[in-house]
Amino acid sequence: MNPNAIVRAEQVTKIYDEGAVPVQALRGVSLTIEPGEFTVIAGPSGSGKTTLLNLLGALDVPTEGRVFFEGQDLSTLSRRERARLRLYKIGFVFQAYNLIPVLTALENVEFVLLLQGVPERERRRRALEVLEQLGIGELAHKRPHEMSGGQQQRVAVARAVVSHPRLVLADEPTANLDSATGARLLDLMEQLNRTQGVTFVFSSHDPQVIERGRRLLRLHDGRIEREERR
Amino acid sequence: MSFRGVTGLARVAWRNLWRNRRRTLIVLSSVVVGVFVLVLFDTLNLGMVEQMLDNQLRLHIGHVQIHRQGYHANPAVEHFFRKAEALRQQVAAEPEVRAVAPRVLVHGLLSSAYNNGGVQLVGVAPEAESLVTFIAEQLVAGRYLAAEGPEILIGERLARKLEVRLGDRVVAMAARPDGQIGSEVFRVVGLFRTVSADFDRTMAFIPIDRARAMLGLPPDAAHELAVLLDDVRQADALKTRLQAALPDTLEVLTYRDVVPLLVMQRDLYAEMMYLFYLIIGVALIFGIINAMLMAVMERLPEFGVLRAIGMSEGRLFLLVSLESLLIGLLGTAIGWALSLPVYAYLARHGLDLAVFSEALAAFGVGSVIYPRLTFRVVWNAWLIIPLVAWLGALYPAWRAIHVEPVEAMRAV
Repeated sequence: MNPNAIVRAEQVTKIYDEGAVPVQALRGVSLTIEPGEFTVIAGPSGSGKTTLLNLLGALDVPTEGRVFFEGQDLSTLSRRERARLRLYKIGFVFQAYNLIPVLTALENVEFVLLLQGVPERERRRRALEVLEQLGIGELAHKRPHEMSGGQQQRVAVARAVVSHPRLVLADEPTANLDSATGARLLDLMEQLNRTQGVTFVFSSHDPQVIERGRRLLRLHDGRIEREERR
Repeated sequence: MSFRGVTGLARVAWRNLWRNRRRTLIVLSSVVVGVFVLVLFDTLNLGMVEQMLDNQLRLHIGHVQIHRQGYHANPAVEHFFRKAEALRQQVAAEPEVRAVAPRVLVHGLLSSAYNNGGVQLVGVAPEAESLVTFIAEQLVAGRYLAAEGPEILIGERLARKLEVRLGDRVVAMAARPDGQIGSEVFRVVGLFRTVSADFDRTMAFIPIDRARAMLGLPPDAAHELAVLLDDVRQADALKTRLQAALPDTLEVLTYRDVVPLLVMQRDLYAEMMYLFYLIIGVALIFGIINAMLMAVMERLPEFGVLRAIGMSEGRLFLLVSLESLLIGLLGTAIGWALSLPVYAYLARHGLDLAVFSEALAAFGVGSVIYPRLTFRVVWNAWLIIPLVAWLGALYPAWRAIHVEPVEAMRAV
């Protein structure tokens, strides 16, 4: 067992018990994510990709099995502690960008730092720096509705990485983008991975995402069917 | 969370308010109207009850009274004190005292050729009395008392009852300290009409020397010194000082001691305003809950995202309740800004309620009401209305923080 592992899932099972029939989204999945990974969890709709990502991101707790983040068992944490863990250790990129509509790009990126209690001057500096790094400095003062989908998703990436999280989880990040825009977004994330060692875990069924992953986990019916390393 | 963080959240909350401009403006205007009505109603109500009390005090009672010990409990004619003029001068020398009037008081009977009625006969020094009370300004016919002469001032209502007019004679009768009945004929020289119907039916003023002569009292006797102060709030302090300075044979009372019911009534009226605050508050809170709940429900996915990126429940709660608090504060500010010019106008010109003056007269209030702004009104509006707005956000905010990030993200 690697002591450097960022997150480790052990035989996790997730059953959604909301409808008339319980749905078993995950059936005993184990995996470890280590620093510097650029990993894609692939699989058809309903295979459990998002569920697995939510468990790795401390957004949800497994029905059975355990998830350890930096060695800490997430099931022992309260909601509040899990929120704090997400705030400081995990960045999220969502399919629908999900920027805060009333805030500019810069303020959206700053928001995470605001929640962390970073002083205003410093958070402004750091947020601008990240936007510049990602080549979207000129968007700083635009609101989400003034930006294209690709631009919004870049801002979302900036928001995810601004506080230097241990892990960035991206749930179908290219699903709403055309392939050229999606490719540029992936370039950006690959660059962050290579130059700054940001650890990415994607869930996707987009072939171009799957193609770029250096580690690929194929999920089918809630189980890891196949794993490839490239 | 640091103050910096709160201001950052407040900025976000402020912008969120204007996402649905129309809804915010509707809620805001209800707060504005609420504050506007509250401020004017509260200041007018306070003005009215203060006026009511002040009228009673300026009508007859004054701010402080001095009697022989025991007179207040048993206002018998034999409970007079001597050296009234010397005492008057001593009291008048106190810095906060504006005027002092000596009085001889006795219950008696006033008879005309046609009718009679029980009255409170008040022997006054006309000059001094006109400085303490405003009876001299309440005349509707005739003139004020001269210092000497068998003259009497009565209320218009009493005149009607006795069926007398200016210049007519009336006979006053009252028990003397020696057990005899004193009586004297007076000529009606003036009729008064005050804000108090009761006063106009029962009070009769005669020159103090005539009263002493009629009752067989020594020439330096009096039953009461009525004291008017520059400021009614100095009454307690003066009472304490005079009690120490004057002989034990005298009692010093403030208006609170003399008319406790009137003071209680004033305080009760002021308290009743809180009922009005409650009504307005309840009306406002449902509008606020409704608007905030709509605002929250349509943003649940967004709250899910905020929770996902690590916003704590406490901060999310703060964000939502800040939105409501900001509406409350802004609405209060605008409501105040709108009500102040109206207040200023009314404070200058008064609100003329002549239509209701009969009813108001029964309460001892004039027909023109002047609003009165106190710190309490300012405090009430600035504290209660934003608090109501904040309370209205509690349930919506509770809904917001109970969003599951996973659910919310699935919904987007």
